[in-house]
Amino acid sequence: MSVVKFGAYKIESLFLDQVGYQYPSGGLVLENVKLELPMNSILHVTGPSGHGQSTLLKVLALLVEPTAGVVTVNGMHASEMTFEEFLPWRLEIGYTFENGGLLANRTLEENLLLPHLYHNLSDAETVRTDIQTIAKRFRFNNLLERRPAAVSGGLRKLITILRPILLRPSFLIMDDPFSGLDPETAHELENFIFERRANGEIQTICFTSRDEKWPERLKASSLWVENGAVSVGRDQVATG
Amino acid sequence: MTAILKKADVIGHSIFEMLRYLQSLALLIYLSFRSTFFGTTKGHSSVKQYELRQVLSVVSAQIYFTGWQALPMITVLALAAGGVAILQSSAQLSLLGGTAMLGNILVVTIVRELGPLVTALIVIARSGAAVASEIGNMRVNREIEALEMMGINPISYIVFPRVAGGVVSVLCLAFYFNAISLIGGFFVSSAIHDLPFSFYFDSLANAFANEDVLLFFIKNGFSGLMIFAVACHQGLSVQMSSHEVPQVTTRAVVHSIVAVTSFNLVVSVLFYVKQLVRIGIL
Repeated sequence: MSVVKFGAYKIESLFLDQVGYQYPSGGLVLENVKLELPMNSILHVTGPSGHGQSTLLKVLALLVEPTAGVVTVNGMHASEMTFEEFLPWRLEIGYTFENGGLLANRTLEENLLLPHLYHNLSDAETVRTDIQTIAKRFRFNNLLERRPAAVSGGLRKLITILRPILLRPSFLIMDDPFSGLDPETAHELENFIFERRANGEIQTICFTSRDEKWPERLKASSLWVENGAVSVGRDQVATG
Repeated sequence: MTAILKKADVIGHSIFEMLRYLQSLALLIYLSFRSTFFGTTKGHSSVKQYELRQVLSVVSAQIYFTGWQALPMITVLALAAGGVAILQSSAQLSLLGGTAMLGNILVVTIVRELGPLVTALIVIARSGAAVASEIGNMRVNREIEALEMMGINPISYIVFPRVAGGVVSVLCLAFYFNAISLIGGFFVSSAIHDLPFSFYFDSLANAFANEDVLLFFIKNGFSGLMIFAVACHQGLSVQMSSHEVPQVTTRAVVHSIVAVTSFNLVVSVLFYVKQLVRIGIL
């Protein structure tokens, strides 16, 4: 399936400059983070629970606006761009949620189809065929007409991961993608992501994972997040 | 003196907060229309028609839920309102000018006042509350964030269809309420006074003024806009937790009722002041 996006809008650099994030309730999660994300690499964001790994992923996905500092994409200040101006780059970033993220009033197939139809990225029949192929591979082809509430939590999680991958992003961000999946599906998903990376579609992967085997298998570099500071590896500090 | 200043401070703060709230509602409505019709990615305006097609499918779903599904309830209430208005005024008809005044009574009570208010209250109870809780749950369930990640602007995909669909539904429901009420009024008045339909119709036609059309659009258009803007605003204000959802739902209902009844009151007062000025009393 070919996905015709808005042209050549690859993400070539992503830079966090003195970035901080504080929840509206007051909790400071990230502080003075200065980080140039190494593109064309696989990064495992790790650290003690509750120290801001998921928030860092959301900042990298430009899903939350930092409360301090700036995020630059290809040298442009992301926060100064409107939703529409940033859209071509947005479609190059795939983000999978740890929990939730599926539209409750749409079937699984409609959830997978929506971004393609909304932006007219490819024709509906081609995407439907592609979805059927993937659904057969992951053995949920007979459940495509069901709504998220009518399927298992594992399948919901799988759909939230597959939806952005179907959009062919060059930068994939995954928040704990394998928790809640059965080992067979997790293995199949791992192969699926490897294939997409091998054929050059996915260039950069950034993820959190409680399963330590997965970062090892991917030969991922690690980004350590602790007390709002981010380090490359566990020793080399990358904060400002 | 200090006590008076403190009181003035509290009142001033409340007024300021209310104006800020109204400003944020106006901004939400403006942004929803702007992002839906004018927000195109540079050099890719042709994509807009596909986006609009998806947005319009949500608008039609909203009209179905808010307008179509409310028809049975509106029918019962409208028949009752028309019938009761005639029943209650029948005893006073001789004082007011006989059966020729039936049309005036129905236009004043039903078309100008009860119609917009009852329709708005039904829509608030059925759809305003539903929209606020739906959007609140979407926030909790990360659906809004998921839309953003798919490159879909939640303001044009979530807010615009509800506001646009809501305005169309309220206008249609109010028109339907008025029509059914007048039919209900005819049944009751023909049973009591043995009136022919032509007499009843003439009485109504004489009572209607051009201003009634304007009044209808102002009152019902504003109700639709406010009910759904408030519901969307409250729903989107949910941060993380599901316990916020019932709170914002209650707030949406209360704020909508206050806004709609206050606006209807102000418009009615202005309308009658204008009438008094026209006939030379003021």
